[in-house]
Amino acid sequence: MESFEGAAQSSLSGESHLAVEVAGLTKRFGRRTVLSDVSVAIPRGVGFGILGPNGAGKTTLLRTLLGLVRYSSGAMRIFGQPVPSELPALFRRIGAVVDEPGFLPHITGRQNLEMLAAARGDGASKRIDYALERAGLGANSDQKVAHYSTGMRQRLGVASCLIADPDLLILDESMNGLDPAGMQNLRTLMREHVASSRTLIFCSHLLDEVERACEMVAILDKGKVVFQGPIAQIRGQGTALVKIGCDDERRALSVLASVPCATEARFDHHEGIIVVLRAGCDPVHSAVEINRSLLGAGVAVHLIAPERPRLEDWFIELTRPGASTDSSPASSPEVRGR
Amino acid sequence: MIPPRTAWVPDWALIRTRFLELRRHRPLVIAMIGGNLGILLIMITAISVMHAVHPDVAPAGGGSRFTSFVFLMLATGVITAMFLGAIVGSEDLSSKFFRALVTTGRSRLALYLARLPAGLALLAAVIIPTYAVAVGCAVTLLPSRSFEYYYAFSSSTKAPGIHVILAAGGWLLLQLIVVYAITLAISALVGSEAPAVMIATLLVLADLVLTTVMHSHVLWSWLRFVDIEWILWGMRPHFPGIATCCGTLTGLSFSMPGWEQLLALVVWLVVPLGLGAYRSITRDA
Repeated sequence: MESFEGAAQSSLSGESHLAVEVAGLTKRFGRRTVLSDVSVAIPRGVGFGILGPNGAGKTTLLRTLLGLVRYSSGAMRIFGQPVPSELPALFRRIGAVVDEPGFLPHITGRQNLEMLAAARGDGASKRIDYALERAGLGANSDQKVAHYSTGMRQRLGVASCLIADPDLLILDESMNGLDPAGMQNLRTLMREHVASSRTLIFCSHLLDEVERACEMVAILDKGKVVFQGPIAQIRGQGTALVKIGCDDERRALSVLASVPCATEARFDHHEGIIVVLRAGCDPVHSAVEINRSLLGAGVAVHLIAPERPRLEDWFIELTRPGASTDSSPASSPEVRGR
Repeated sequence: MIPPRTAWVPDWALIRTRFLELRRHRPLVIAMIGGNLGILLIMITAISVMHAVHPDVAPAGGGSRFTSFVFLMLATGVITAMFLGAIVGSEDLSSKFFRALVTTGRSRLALYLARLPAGLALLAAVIIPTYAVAVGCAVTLLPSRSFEYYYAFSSSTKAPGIHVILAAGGWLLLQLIVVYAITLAISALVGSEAPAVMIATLLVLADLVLTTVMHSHVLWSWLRFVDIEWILWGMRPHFPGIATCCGTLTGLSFSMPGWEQLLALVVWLVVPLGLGAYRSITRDA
């Protein structure tokens, strides 16, 4: 085991531009393998999303990375330092909420943070007020946690990260239970964190939110990484669409057959005409071209909506039962997990 | 000064915040005060009322009453210490706060050890004033000398001496500290409060069985090393009027040298606390 770990550690590049590096990580609970040979590389200063269906191993990956559970084999580094041996020192630079945030219910949100700040040291207690305000809990900080809603607990979880003034912010399902204002606040916070050249790891089922906050993603399924790479790469490889609403669908379809950027056009009773674009065609420019062609042919257009390839479609495709990852574009050498 | 992350000794700030957190556990604090000071006050009031109505009943002072108060406090204090230990030992785990604490980077051992003095401080904050009330009554509400007839010992009607007060207080506190520490360790070991109280109660019952076995089978006297109640009972100071208060207990013989008692006590504290610490360090958060 030790020799294997040694080998696994040496398989890590230890490159300084990486915030997190995981190589060949395997975690078993009894006979059940939850993570199987997982390798992930997260560059510094990016927003990195971790996606996967329920039970895919996302939270276990984060818990293992943070030394909250022991791992079976593999190697990990955070900021080039081996984990878990260097975690006590590394935690000075890490703020993390893994799974649902847990707090003592009989004391206030502020008092919970005071306890965490006392454990943390490093002047964390001076950042409590800022953290509470930033997480949108300023008005409720002196209320007992027992009276907090799920969203308020999530905000307190975020505040507990902020008292660390972290270089690496790890948020696991932190959007759950937040109201729209809370979601917007957290979105802004995540964007600002990444904009200040710090690293964000964001684990969520809300794929739109991951798309907004992150530049890169890893998709886990059944304990394995089935995709890892930039979200832009997914957009580049997926199929873009243009949806059209007009007064004469039959005539529009005949016009669309001769539009160069369209490979297929079909009529749907609920969504109107759906035009599938050629690979590499920009949906906005294509929409302009299609609109011009339709108007030129005398078709009155009342709706034209370009749609970029969505992470959600990609995610569902990759993680659907029986999905062959070899046939998916993710299996290309550029985007497959390392 | 920032404590090093790997330091296993908890610093003052950590212990202080833990104590403040426990102090804000309102139902716990109310139960502790009610279960100790409240019950003692009820007893004192009842005795005083009975004495007022029937002058034959001795007032709530003197050595014999003092002994009764101490043993009442022992009974209520053990229950209090048990529940406090169970809560302090695993409330972080049940609320998942332990995970948040671990991600601060502080040593898990330091987090575990910080709970011990914090809970003890709360226990002392309830027990010491209660004991002061008991002592105050025992010293001020003295019976007249005519009650010596009933007690058969002149010391029973006199105010307990300072040595008796200090020794009895120390012995009471020691008993409660041991119960608290063992229950805390069990709680940290099993990770849940209710099973910890159940196991600690079973331990007390098992000790009672052991005591009985030791007395019916002289050859099994080696069992005294595992009977913590027996060990602590052997450390008791001389209580005034104990013949009238705890007659059955005075019939028991005890032949354990002081160093054996001390050693057994240390083992009884170190082993469970060590196991609790080991579990805290190795458990999944």
